[in-house]
Amino acid sequence: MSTDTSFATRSREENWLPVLELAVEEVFEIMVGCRVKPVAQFEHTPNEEFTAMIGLAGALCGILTVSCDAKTAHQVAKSMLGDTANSAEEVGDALGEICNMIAGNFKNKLAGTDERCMLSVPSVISGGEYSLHSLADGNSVETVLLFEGAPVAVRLQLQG
Amino acid sequence: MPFAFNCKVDPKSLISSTRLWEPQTGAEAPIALPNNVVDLILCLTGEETMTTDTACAKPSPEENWLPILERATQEVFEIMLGCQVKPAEPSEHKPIGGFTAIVGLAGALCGVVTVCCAAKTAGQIAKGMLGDTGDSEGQVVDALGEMCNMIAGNFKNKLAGTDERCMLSVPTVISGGQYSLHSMANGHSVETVLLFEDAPITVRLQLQS
Repeated sequence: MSTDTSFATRSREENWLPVLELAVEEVFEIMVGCRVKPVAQFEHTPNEEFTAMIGLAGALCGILTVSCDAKTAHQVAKSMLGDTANSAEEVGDALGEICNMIAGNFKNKLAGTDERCMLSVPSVISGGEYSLHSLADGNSVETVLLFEGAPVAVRLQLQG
Repeated sequence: MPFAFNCKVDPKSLISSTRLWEPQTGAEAPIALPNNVVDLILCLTGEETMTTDTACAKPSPEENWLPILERATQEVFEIMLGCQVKPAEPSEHKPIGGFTAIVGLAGALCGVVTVCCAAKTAGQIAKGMLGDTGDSEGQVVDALGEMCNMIAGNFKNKLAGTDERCMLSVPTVISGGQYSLHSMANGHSVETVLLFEDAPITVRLQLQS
């Protein structure tokens, strides 16, 4: 895996947390029709029954994940697709699409990144007992936002 | 649901970021967005499609990527573990998903490669790579993730013209007793099961159409 060193350096030197938070807020506003705001992470830790993840490759190499509990994932799906969105597949698709749009929106906000960073396809993990380990060994940015009172964690983990 | 578009976001940036309209990943939405959202974004941007290279996005009907994936996997096991693995009949060896390593492909080839095996098998792979000291969960995760990364890299290198136009993301490993993994890749899928010390390992390539 080759990573553009200028972006690896930038990720350490620049504060990308506000950029990530803005990207998340915009996607929720457009796709779910609601405003979400960052909260203190230590006060709000989601029960990560659903995790959507997408890979970033090229100048910016890593993964972006969106995690929340099952109830919140269902609410996101219903807000996007209507009350008929009940199946696990629809819920997974909705959360995966949110993850995909957050990643795309985030990279588009970083000057010079868009054309040299590409996204893979979202994948969604669900279940009551799992752990997710990224082999990305570089900078990590994380925010927790409240959606209808429930925490949603968004994490960007980059290759060094 | 009322839809208010009172944001400061550049809608074009969202268009280009979303898989829904990325030509490299297909023109059809995997989920049905509300029509007002689709119409509004398309109206604001004035564009529905973009051009990109899709030459390697999917194999032609006569192409069969299964032998290439199998060969890529066998070579990595041979180099990294010094052992030969042979494809087995998938129906006779149901995968047991204690550990799943996943790496994304982006660019001309867009999708994911996953390597799935039981916890015991993942531990044996780690020991084969790292020696008897490779028994902590962190080392098992690193070993399986690296195997997945190498299989994906070896596979794409074997496809003529793909190497430079397809890039890999960072491997991620899922472990646990109760989980399911669902890829949103909606295109061509290739899967092989190989036996490593008599235990099945499932290697799957799922592509976006």
